[in-house]
Amino acid sequence: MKEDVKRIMAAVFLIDKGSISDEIAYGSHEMWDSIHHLNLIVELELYYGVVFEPEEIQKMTNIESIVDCIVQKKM
Amino acid sequence: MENRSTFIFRNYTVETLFKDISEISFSGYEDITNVPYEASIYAWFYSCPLNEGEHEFIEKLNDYKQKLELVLLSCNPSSYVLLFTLTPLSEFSFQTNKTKIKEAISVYNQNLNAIALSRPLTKVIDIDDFIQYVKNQQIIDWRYYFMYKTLINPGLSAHFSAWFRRQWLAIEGKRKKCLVLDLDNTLWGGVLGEDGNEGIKLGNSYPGNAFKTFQKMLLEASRFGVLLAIVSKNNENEVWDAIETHPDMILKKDHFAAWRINWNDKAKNIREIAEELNIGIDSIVFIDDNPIERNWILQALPEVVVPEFPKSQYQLVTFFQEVYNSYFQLYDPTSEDQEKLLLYKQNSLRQQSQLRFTRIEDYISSLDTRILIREADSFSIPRIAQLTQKTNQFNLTNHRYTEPDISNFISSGHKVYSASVTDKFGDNGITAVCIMKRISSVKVEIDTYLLSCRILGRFIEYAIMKKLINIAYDDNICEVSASYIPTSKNSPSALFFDTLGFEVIENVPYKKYLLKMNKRFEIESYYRFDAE
Repeated sequence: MKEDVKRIMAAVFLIDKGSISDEIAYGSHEMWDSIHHLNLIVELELYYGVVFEPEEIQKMTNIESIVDCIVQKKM
Repeated sequence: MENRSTFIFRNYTVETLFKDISEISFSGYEDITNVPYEASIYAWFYSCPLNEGEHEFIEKLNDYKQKLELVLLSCNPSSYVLLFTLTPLSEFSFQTNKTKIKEAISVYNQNLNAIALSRPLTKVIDIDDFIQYVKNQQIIDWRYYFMYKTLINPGLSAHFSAWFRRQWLAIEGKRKKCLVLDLDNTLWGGVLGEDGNEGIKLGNSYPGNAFKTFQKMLLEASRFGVLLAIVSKNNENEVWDAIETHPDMILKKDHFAAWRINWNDKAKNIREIAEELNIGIDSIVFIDDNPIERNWILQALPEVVVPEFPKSQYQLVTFFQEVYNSYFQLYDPTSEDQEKLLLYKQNSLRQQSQLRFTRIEDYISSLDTRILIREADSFSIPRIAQLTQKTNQFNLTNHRYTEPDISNFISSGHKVYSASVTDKFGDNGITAVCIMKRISSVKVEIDTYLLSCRILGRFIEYAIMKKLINIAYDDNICEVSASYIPTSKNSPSALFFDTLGFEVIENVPYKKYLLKMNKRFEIESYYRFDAE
């Protein structure tokens, strides 16, 4: 799932998937600003067929928390 | 829209809807001060303000109308302007009197139509068309509305892109140049080679009169610049003989720009005609009654438009009207339009040099802007820290701070200011932050200066900074240093200190400035600074 998330990130941020490290975080990467965060959430929701709560959207600021959130939703 | 730069004026977050388009930038919310002259497409994409009572709603629409007028004065006159209509997006409304709201929306939209008629290269895009297109979907996602200030659901962005692309193609690529026509059973009834000159159906009784009318319509189209060409499987001599001698023939040889009357493959003929006329294959519409020929062209030359041919001759009129409206609607400026365009360019340049500044100042002064500057306290620190975290466009240094960072500045004797802005539309709350580090008793450094994009667009950033520097000056400060650290997003603020008259003292790795003061800044009188 982590790789899928990275793939979606790469597509949303218009960067190379290989350049995405596990440590990438909201605000730390130039492309990961609020608008791209919104785009990322929209794509994740479409891809996984889930709907995140605003509180979750605010917490999904790195790969680990994104994966956690999706796993929780899928259970 | 490839290889073009697009600039979108907006009042809500719409970036997600245009993410497939490269070279696109956006105004601040309701911001009209930055009108990039080099844009090749401007889009005016405002939505109905949601959170407003009836009176405010109508005021807002008037304000949008005024803003649009100002924008049109500054737009590059040879660029496209796309005007999106307004439509109520939410079934629920904060307004009780729906009639008045509807009326205001309709007046606004009518005004867009009037603008499109008078300005070249200006088109109205009906957002209702999109709403119809996605009518089974959720138009507003309230999560994203409250979190990101979006109105149209970002989840619909793929639909929006597809729809918008179609709109754009309809505007730009719509007008084809050439109608390639078959002859038998297309320009007349029957087959010339079998029925002979006297036997073909063209005259004053049905169906001959329908073909005659069709020819008249084609002639009219050619007067409006549509090139007519013939591609027909016939003997060329017989064809010219019929065309020149048949008493009811409306179209004569002179009316045709090119022809291929032979027994060759029609795709090859069309390609040759395109070459001969020096036009693109994609600017051709092919009209033929024979479905096998149509199908072949569709396959061989997918760029060519091939409309279905009507089954009955009496349908030729509506058929051609539709073809004309879909592909030959006059949009390229004709000679008259050219004159209009020239006049418009002159006017617009004049207005840019004179009117623009006087009028925009009138406009700003009509907003009744009041600014309250305060030093940070425990109530404002969270908001100040938040603004340093998320402000991108107008942020000169992009230092990101936490609440403890802000508290540290204050306890170390530096100044942290916030500014709240109120105007006739309401209170915008704290929307500007400035951190001034004290370097010595006579010198300060502007560590941070940012404005929320909410209030960008009325030169308020200058008024606030001037006021802050005046406050420092009154406090015996006579030197102010500053810097501009560029990021991918803060180019709107790149020349801020230059404009204020700061001197550039370093360029590498980023611009550093110094201002030596010997007097207070003058501030335009239409900004009112409130005392606490």
